[in-house]
Amino acid sequence: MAGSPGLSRGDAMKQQSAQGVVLGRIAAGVLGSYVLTWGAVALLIAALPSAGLSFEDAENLSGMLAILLYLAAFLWAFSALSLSRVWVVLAGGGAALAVTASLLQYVVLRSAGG
Amino acid sequence: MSDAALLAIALLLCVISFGWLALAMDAHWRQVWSSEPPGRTTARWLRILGWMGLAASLALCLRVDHASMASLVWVMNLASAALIVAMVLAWTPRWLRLLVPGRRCS
Amino acid sequence: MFQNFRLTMTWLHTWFGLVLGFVLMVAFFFGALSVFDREFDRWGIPQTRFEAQPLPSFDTLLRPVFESIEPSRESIDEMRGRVHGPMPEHFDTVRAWTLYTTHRDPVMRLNAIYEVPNARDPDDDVFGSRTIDPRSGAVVPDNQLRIGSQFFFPLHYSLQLHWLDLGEWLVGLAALAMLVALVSGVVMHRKLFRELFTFRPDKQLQRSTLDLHNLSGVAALPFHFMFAFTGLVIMAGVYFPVAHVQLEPLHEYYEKLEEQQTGLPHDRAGVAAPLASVDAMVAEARQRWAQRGASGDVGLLIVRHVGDANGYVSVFRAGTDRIGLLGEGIHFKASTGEVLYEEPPSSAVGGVTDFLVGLHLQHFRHWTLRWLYVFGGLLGAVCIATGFIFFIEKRKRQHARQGVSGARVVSALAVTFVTGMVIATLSLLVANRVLPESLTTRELFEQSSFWGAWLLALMHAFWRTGPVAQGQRTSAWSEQCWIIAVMAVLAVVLNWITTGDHLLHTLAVGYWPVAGIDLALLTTAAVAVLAANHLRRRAASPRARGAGVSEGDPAVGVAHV
Repeated sequence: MAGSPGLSRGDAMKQQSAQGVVLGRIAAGVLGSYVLTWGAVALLIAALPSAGLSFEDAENLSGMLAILLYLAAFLWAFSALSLSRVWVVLAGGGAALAVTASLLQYVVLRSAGG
Repeated sequence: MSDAALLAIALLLCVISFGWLALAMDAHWRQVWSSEPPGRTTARWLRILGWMGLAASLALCLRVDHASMASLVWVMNLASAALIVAMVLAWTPRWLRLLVPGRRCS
Repeated sequence: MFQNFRLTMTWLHTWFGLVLGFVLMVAFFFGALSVFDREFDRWGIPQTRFEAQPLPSFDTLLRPVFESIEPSRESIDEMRGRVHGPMPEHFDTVRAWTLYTTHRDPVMRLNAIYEVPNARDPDDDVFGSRTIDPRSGAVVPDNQLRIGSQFFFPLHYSLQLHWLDLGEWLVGLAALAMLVALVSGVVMHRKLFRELFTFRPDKQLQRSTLDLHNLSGVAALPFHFMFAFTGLVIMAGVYFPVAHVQLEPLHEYYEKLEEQQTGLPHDRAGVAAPLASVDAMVAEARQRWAQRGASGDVGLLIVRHVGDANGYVSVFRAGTDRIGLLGEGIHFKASTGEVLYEEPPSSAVGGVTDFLVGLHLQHFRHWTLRWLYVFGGLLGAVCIATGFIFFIEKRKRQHARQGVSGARVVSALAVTFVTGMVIATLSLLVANRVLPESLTTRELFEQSSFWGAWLLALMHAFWRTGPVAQGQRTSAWSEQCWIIAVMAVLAVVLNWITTGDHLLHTLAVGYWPVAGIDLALLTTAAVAVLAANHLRRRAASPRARGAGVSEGDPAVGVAHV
């Protein structure tokens, strides 16, 4: 496509950067959403049993919510204005949730004397 | 009545109800009668009948099966019925005239 | 990325729908066939063509078979490299015996799982299985491909692509793309409800294809959404193995806690103990189910820690009359038969999970709903296929002018993934009836015939789609329709010749597993002939010149397979 006749150098560069934008969005949509969802699932599984659910229920419920969250995050990654903000929210948010989950795990196991 | 017969009636009710709902839409009314769209009152009655028919179909499904299964049968009936009505409208729209008996065609 | 939300949604719908649509075709089509996976098994393994059987006596019939099982060579080979030192000569510690059966299973498959004492990961195991005729206990040779449950069904969620579980991840991404396509489709299609019943077959192909795409998408929208969603829910633990990776310690902690509550031992005691009468336990379980107003058959039987004092037997009710696969589990102490733990009614989350998983895997007894599922799955295939054709129709003239091969490539792939996929399926059925039963590599040949036929269909499609590059129509659709018609009839005839079970016989005795498949094959042939004829008429009509009018129809035809 980039080599089509009649395209000026400027056009070609524009097209190239457009391809980069698309790839960046796809990466954010697929991978960024995965990171966010992983973090959310981790926090739910870590927190829900303390709220009275059985561990299995926590796993199942977080699995259902994970699919819906991934879908929402994916759509948002493509429709949000700023790509860098998308990455901050998805990857940063996911990491923060995952770290919180691990901390919670630590607290639960410690207070159980494990 | 046997379960199979009740389920067949449930599907038929869905088809008829979707037929009424389609007739409540101007474009499809024109397809069926080749005349001006129905008046507001007629359209409203068609819609009411349509929704009531769908509800009755759900009730029949619930009579036959456990609620969890009945809800699935009903949803799949809706899909089949919508497709059937669309195909009737595409190939033989006049059949839907049966759903408004007594109305003379113009 | 674009000026507005709608344009973004359109872009997502077009490109994710196109690229992952091919994977979705496989998932929908073979998913639809998997509704009758066990019936395909019966068709392909004639020795097993008899009525479904209730659970036979464990003590006299099943137990000796369980005791005779040995770990399979494949599972031992898989363990190599995952043990300290040499592989043990034999495996004496049985971790569990399991048996899962439904109201559609004439033969039963018994599984045994063995501990590997020197495994690097103590949770690793080797396993073996044996299939029996429950009427006599006779072993049924296990070397034949179960076409439905062993080939079509896994193909539907893993593409039979097992390297790094790549297939499962691809299908997962495709299911997500399906959800995305549904959401974006609703956003794009402003007149969703005003045009719900609209199909204009006499309009230009591009328009009528779009009508059919919208109709098949919207009419079965709840079905499409629920199946993509529940498929992902079932596999959520594979895609997000959080509880086995990041939160494994927490998982173990709660497992131990649960062990205390239920009294079901997690580990062996190391003290040998006999196995009491399992038949008595099954009878007790049935009685307790009846008291709870849910009489029924056993769906799953598990004996854990076999031969150990900590051993226990779990009996689960088959969800034949419910959506959930199994329920009302009751656990017995293996050595005495006393009840250790009776599972309480499921929690709210548990109930929803059982419903979502069960509605997708559908082991219930409801033939109407099963057929409606097949119809829904094929409607999904129509929706995706018409999406491809719309893509081609919209672009092919422009691509022809620009000398770009996009429309041509998509056209060839669309043929491959619509009619080509049906040809591959039929090729497997034909191979199954032609290959001699004594052939040791029979399974391999059957699968090769599937992939080989698909490859040929792909080559044929590319060879024949030259005209699309000039903005014309391809003859690949109608040619492949004829091949489908011939092969479908051939499969029915071969079934008659090799087994004697012709339609008059199977219909007369009411043996529906085989009669149903034969009838479906004949219907497929009839629809393929109609589609091919229709394509020829459209191609011959002056209106068709240069318009590629005919491409929409095979997709409709395939809907009736």
